[in-house]
Amino acid sequence: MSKIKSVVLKGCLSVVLFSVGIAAYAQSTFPVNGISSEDKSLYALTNARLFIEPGKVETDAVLLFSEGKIVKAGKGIPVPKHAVVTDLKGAFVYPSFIELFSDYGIDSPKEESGRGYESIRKGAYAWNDALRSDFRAAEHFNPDEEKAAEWRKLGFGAVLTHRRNGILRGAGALVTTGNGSANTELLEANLSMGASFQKGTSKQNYPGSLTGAIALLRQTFYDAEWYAVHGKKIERNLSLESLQQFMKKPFLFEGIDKYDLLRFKKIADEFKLTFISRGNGDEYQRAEIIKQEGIRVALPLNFPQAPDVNDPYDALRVSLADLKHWENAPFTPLLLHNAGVEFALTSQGLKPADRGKFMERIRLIVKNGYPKEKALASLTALPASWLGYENQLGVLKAGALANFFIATGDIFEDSSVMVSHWIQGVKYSLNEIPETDVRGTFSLTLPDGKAISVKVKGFIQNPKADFSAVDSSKVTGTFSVSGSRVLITVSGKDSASVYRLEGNATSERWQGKGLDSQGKLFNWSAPKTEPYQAEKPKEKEENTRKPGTVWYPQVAYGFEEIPSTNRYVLKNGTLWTGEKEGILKETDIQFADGKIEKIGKNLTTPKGYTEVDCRNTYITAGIVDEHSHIALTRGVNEGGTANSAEVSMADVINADDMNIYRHLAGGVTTIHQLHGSANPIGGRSSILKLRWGRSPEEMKFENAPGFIKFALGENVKQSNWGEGSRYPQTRLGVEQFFYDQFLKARQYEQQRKAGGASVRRDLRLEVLVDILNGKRFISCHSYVQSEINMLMKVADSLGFTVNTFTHILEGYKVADKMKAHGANASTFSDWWAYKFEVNDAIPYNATIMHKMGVNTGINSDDAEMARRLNQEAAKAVKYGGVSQEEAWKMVTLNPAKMLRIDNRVGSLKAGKDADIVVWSREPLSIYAHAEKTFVDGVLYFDRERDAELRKTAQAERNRIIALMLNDPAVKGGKAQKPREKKEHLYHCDDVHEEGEEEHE
Amino acid sequence: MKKYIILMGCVLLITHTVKAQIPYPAKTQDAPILITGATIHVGNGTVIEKGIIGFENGKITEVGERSTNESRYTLNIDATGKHIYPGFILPNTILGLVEIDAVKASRDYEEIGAINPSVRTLIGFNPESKIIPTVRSNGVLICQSAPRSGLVSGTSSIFNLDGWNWEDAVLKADDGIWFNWPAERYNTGWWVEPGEDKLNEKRKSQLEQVQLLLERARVYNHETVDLNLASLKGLFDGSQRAYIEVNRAKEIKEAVLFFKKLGVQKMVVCGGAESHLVADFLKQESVPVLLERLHALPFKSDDPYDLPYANAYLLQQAGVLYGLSYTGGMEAMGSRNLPFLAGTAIRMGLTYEEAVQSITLNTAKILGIDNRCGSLEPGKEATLFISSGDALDMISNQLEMAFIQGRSIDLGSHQVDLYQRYMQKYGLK
Repeated sequence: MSKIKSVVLKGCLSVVLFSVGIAAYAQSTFPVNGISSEDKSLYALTNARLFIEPGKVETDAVLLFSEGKIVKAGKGIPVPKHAVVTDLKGAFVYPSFIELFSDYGIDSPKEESGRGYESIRKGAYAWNDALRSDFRAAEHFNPDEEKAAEWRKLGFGAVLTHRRNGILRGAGALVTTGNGSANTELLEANLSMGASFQKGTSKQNYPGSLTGAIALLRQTFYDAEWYAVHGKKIERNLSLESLQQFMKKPFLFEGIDKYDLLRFKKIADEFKLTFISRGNGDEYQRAEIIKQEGIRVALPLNFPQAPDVNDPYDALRVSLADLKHWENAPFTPLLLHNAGVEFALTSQGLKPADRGKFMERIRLIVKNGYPKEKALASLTALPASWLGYENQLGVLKAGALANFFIATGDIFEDSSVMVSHWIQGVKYSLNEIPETDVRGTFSLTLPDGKAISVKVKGFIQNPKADFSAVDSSKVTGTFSVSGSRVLITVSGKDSASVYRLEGNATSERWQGKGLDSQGKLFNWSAPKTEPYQAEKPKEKEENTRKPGTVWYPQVAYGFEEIPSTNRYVLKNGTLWTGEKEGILKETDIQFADGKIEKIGKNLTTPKGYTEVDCRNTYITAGIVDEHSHIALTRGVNEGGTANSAEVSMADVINADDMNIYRHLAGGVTTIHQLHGSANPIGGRSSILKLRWGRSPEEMKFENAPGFIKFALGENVKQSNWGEGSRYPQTRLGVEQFFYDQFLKARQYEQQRKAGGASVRRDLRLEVLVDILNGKRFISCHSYVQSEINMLMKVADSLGFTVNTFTHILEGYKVADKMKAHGANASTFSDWWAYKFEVNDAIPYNATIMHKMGVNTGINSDDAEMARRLNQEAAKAVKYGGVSQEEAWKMVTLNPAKMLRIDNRVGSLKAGKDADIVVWSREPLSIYAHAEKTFVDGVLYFDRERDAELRKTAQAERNRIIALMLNDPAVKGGKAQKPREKKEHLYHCDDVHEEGEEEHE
Repeated sequence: MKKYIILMGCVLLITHTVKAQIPYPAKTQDAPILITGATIHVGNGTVIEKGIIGFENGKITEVGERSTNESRYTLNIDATGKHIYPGFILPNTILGLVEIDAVKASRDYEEIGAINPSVRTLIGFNPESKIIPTVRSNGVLICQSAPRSGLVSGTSSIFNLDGWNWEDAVLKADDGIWFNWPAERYNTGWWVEPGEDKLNEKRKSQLEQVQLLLERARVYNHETVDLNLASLKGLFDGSQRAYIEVNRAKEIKEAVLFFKKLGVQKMVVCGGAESHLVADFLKQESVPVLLERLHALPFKSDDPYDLPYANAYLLQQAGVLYGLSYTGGMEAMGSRNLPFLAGTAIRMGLTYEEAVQSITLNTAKILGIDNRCGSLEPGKEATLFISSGDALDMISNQLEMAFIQGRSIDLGSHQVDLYQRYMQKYGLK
């Protein structure tokens, strides 16, 4: 029986046979309407150049496949007689590409309406509508012929598909891109789990920030683990049930910047997950860390377009960061490769209009230095192996799927054309190659005697003709070829006469019938007079483009190399020690390896130390800003819940924030990054040292004590924001909410002690347990006396101390009570009148609290003011007459004390961290410049160097703009007007929404 | 009977026996006053060490090294070692038009609609604002309260920061019309999470709208009732100024040429974040600038960290007339820090007296009130103050006495009252 079918099929071999692929794949469970025609034939592609696997190419090789799988591939393989043979005449056969990030065949999620604190999803699913781990792409997969054809055209034979909706996006399905049924194209259901930090169509308020999304993921993973053993006895939860089945499978994560990869990596480490991350094309900026962390990333090819920089004023809008990224983005693969990272490539992120340019982009990155073999591996064997499909996909080896495409040449060259793409052994033609090569020069004589020479050249599948008359008279004509048939329209001697010719071509001549202008038929024939000669390839453009330098961070004033020298002796400055020694004139300070070694007069500079003459300067400890929201990303508030203790600012550090540099220029060396004040119990905070250029992890203050933001008053009761539906809406409710949460935390602690792992881990309550046990400290946003008093009473009754009241604008009214309670105060110097609850704020606040013995600091809560905290401290001198030395401590030692890091920072003392500022004048003077700012003894800011960096930035701008002016779109006036992205500036009242920020 | 006062510091605490939430408006100057021994910052770029200043009936009679007619004064104030400045002038502010930023009911500076030249801040100005005493006690004695919304926001007026009502307080009524120059691009998202900026598609029609308005106003003959057109007439005879909020270099040039073409006689660039980039042009066109708050983050991400601080110095170098304003967030209550903007500008290169001038005579010239105030010169109004130290640095800005048109004003405020109240509660000194 199979023999008969084989004969039948052989008969129709040259037809584009299996485009009706379904018949070939009729499955046994599917009844056939008609005569069964399962394809069991053996196919042989001979004379092929086979890209068997990365680094292994065979020429004159044979590829045997049958029933959708490769039987054998290589050189010298005998071709069995019963094989259906196609001679590829040296064509190139590549394994099909694999796309890791797609939503192919899955309907887009429907937009949901409404907004609120509760889930609106119907069914036994997770509590939060952004958790869609229960969704299974395979169950919704519908092959789409149009999209499939597009995938094949780009070279993709298999794609992993997820629905792109939610923080957990559900199971992925691995499918091939043929036109078969879902049954034949689906390779594996539930291979992976999709994840992101965007909540998608969920209208639930929580999470309302990036930090909330991260916290939600962590809690959910704990929930899944708990559910598997204990939770299922208590409730059915299909989302968790599904998720726990995926804990050992790869997570496919889509972040929106390079730091998202690192953020997800931390989660993955905590739960021992494996994951593949879609890159964003800026990964080169932190290539070393991606290498260190061993992150699997699929790089996109959506390189930025050059903006129109012809108008010098408009061009000012373009930041150097964007200029540099424009230059470097096409080198991302090279730069990651140079850093030793192995990565995949993805077509996701390309705009719909650019998808067709996928191969063009691949060629560009190869031209830009990324090796061809690697590029091929990035699209084939590597992603296959990440999915555990190294033997089935991405290679041309026995047993693998017959997923490959045939090209006329090296696909990394522009001249190469994809001829056909075969999915599971089924052929899909892409570009027809004519049976006859009609190229060459042919001599044609028209009935009126005009002798014409037709020179046909160009790509074989799309040749072009030049017409020239032998007597040099004018001639015009058109030419086309289809199969072996040629069509010519050409002008005769009389310019009004036109001849239309059709004919058949052999390699030696064309001949056929023609029709003149009068409708008279004639025979014609044109012999070949000269064979085709390939045109000399155009003088290959020297690839002069190289990546620009990568700066850390890649913004103006970033470092090409982060400074590391850290041994100095600063000579003869006036030291404001902040210690009992007070102010020391003409004194030296020596530091090394991050610590102050000595303070004294006439120190001898040891070998290997840099000596700096600091005569006429003032030297202090670096400023500590107790209340900062800089260097954070995508939300400072998790306002989707009244208690968000589970979120942490440490998860959302933005090390590239220009404000870090600006702060250093204002003498700030340590900041306390606080959650906002949208809810009574906010998020955990993070303490950073401003090590400009370093990564988020490297900026963290080592072993810093844990803090958390609390808030009271108008913000938490949604007086000036939100829809006013979240409890609490009064100060009365705020108190009750605290009791409720803390008492629950106590109960939780006891239950966990008694019940162990059977009690669900609650990350939110655990933070409160830490507070109750004195292991985490509160910094509470507060204004009016009643609420300040209230929180102290709550704390007293529960047995802990409120560490810090921040803002604390009516602290002066209850300073005695604060002193008794043991709270610190961190206030604004002179803000008031911006909302109702600050009407009684007075600039004498710091003075009174200080005089009452409360440890008092002055903070910024403002990216600009933080650069002038020395001036803000001076206001404590103005308003109430605090001494200058005591005022200075309000921005150094006092905040260090309330952050419990005064053993390391805040004053100048041997053994403390070398966080040091050199000022041009007395530090509180409005005329003082911060001349030099050291963190850990490293000179991160220097006014002299800053002058150089300005020049460097300008030169870099000019250099890149010169390149841009050569960009064809910019030259041709087709580029987009320059855009400017404003910086993110957070205050604690800001409620952000981590929304859909998808690239597509 | 001649009185002598020797300033000893801590005047605030001694002089306020009456605990008023809001200080009483001052009484008219009834006695000629001579202040001696002080460093006098004239406001016009000069300084007189150990100088004298005399004033009578609210007007300055003499300023110099010694008095020519000491006997005419019945009150002598010895201010040896102290500093005298002209009252600082706060232009382009919402002071007096708002009490609490977050409370809509207390805001009166944004009328609805795009074209509102006829609305006047004059009648919204509240001289009894609790904020005012906290501002003038740092040396700011005059303000120009300006409207803010739409394309044409309204008409501003200039006030002395003392008075029972707006009629008392006004120094110059309806001094100018305020325009917001439509930007080429606008920011998307919101300020917490800004997106990429977008092209302002309405810009062309917005500019046409303003152009037509001005063209019609120019020829308006009052035969029909049109309050907006009527309110704009002063722009064409120079009796009123056009204040134009515009920041980008390209748009500054564009705006100036636009108003010039339409026959506007006097214009002022407000904001002017990038005015240093078109300083030559501004100088050539004799257009002054009221600079946005110098204590600002760089206008563009790549700008040097201290470029905003340096803006005043850059215009000074270029010879452009400029003054400092405190426009921006936290504006009304924060405007008591106006002197410190000038202090910061010194750090960036201004001389001390240039910095004083940037918040006194320069501003007075720009606002068209320099014939009456802005510097300490005979014939001008006696609006001035005595500070025990350098008033441009917060460490030493300590007002001991202040005079508005010769009236000695109360430097207390509800904040001082609260301070004293709690110092007393705790028994602190």
